[in-house]
Amino acid sequence: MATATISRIGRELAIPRENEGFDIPAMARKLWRPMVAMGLMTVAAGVIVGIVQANLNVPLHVSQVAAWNPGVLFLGIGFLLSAVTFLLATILGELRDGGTSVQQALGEKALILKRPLTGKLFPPAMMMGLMTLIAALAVGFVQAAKLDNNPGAAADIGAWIGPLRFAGVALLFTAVALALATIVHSLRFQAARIEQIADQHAAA
Amino acid sequence: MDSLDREAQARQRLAFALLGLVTLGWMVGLAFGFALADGAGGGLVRTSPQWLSPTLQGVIALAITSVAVVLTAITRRIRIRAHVLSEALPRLLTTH
Repeated sequence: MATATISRIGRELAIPRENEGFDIPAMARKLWRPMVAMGLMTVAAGVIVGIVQANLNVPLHVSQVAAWNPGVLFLGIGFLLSAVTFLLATILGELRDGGTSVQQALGEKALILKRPLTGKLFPPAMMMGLMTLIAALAVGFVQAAKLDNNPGAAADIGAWIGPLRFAGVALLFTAVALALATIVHSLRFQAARIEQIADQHAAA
Repeated sequence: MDSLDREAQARQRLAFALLGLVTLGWMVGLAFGFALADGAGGGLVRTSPQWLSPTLQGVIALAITSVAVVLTAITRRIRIRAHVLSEALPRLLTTH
């Protein structure tokens, strides 16, 4: 993208609509539904496993399920928070498309917000959070396997696996907060653009 | 526009229904916790440490789902807002 196409509107940077790169909202529109479905199914599986665990009689089996089932539940929550992040990206897409249609209706060149730093950071934060939770689930199974023959190693894993799960969820909440901050940028850009168009019409 | 408005309203109602379930869920969870602390003897209460925590995480999942449903309603409202502004702003600029 040429630097000359970037203009400043209010406190935000804007680019022409046709200069936008990869369309993240279009991808998010397709992915939020599968994420909600996977999240609800994964959490339901975790709840059912919890009920089965309550009826187990062998203490080792109870401990083994206790090692990996929290990973399943956290992953389900992770899928749902990813769906929320995708929906926020969809909202950003709606704001962009709506702003474009308003500018075109006013006979103006369609400018969109140049993706701010928050907009660049929230997709990788979401992916890192989800990958952390998937890794934590895999480690939970390793811990459960070690309970049988190496309880010391299993206890060592148990010491850090819990914080790792919370780190994954924290990354997902970071992604949600960054996406919301991007929406704030978008709303501020739209207000400044409307004001600019009104000033241009008043001067003409 | 009317269909978008109806969709948004339906999703808002669904989100409120989900929030009702969430409220009921954490209240029942809390009641089970107190029953367990009081040493209530029922088998259901005694085994609750194993299944109560996963179930309450299910309640959190429902709460996040209600957030997602409200966000879909907001998406529709933004679409309506853009349509209304596209119609109304050019008329405002030509009449003033």
